[in-house]
Amino acid sequence: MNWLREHKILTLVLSIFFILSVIIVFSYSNIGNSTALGRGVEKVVTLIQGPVSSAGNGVKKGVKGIFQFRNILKENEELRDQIADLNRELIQTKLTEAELAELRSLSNILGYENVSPNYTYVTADVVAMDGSNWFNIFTIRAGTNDGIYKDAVVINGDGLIGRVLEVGSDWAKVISVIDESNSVSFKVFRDMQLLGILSGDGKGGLEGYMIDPEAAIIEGDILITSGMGMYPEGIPIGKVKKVEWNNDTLLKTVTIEPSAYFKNLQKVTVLVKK
Amino acid sequence: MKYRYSFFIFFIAFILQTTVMNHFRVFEMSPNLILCLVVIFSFLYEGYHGIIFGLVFGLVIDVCFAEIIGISAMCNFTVALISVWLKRYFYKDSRISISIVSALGTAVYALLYWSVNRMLGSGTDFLYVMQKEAVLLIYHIVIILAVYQAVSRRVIKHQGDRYMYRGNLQEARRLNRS
Repeated sequence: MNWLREHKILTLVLSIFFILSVIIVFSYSNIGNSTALGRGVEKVVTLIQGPVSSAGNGVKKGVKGIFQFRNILKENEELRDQIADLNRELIQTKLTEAELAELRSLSNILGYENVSPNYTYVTADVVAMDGSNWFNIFTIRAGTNDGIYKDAVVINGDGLIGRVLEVGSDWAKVISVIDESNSVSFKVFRDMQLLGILSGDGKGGLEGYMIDPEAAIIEGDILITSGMGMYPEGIPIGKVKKVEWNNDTLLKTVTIEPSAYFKNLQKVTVLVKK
Repeated sequence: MKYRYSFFIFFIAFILQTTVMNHFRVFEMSPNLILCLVVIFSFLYEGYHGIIFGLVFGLVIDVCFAEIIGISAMCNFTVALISVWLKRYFYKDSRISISIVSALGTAVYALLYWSVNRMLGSGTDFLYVMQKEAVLLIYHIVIILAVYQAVSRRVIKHQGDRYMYRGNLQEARRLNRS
């Protein structure tokens, strides 16, 4: 005890390190389950971050508009062309949809189990992003009040973003697919028989392997979710950047460039099961 | 400086870091303003502002943005302690000193953050992190130097007079009293 009294500062410092270590260990064993205090802090912080983030986005858009006027005009022209193409595709899809509805009703008559659950879409603003540059964890302004639940899948216009890690009444913490330790099952859009599994590569990208070592996957192939696991089928994940044969695992490994850009997210969509 | 003022500064920095600063990315890196403030408050100011608020806002960042809580807080706390310790060996009135301290702070933060995450199973690649942190190191030095330029006249009472005290005003006062 005398030693403690004589070395008060050292004791205090060591105590703080010890308490922090305990918090880390406790938190590690309860990932994704924050305490009431944590949820309260997150709620208050989100309330303040929301307006600041909106203001920041507004200023950014305004400044971008001024300095990139020509680029925006060019982009506008390209988008018009894309809209025309998409309209044509939409008509085609509507025809296919009618056929699908007929097949579904037939499947119901025959008593098959419905394998594709219907989803509703909740669009939410990204109010804050992890400023540490290490991970791509961010907060969105939507929570259980909007029907969002833990592990709900998050996407945006480009493709798969990640899943909901934690959720509060009007906020949710989202972890991106590149930070995920969990694996995602994928298939190749060109040939949907080709299946594989991917996860974050620790360098801000994705890497995976093909289940069939003979799979004819090539660079430039687009990958989508296969529907196995928590991610529903058909969400774009990214493009194959490199295909290699791994002599150690005797598997064909792929390096993937994610289709979504995680550093500048402003809006995302959460898929909520009906 | 009073603790309520420094709390307010840290709070503003936290809000900016997590919202607006994401638009000011350099090579995809946005600055860690809390870490910059931890270095500034620990190295330039007397008292425990950097240590206390580094710890508190590290925990807030962890709660809001991390899977595992406590790592940022531990890193901020360590950087604050190192900065306080370096105060004994570096003059406050030199830009080189503050640049070295901020570089060391950023490097220690990165190494510790990576090590703890690695121990807990994160697969983040070390070389990838170091490449990113090199950019961040320069970014932090620039920010800290800019803040230093703004506050140095207030903080350092006798600029250039290195014989008044060796960087640590409290120690000088104690010596003077004895």
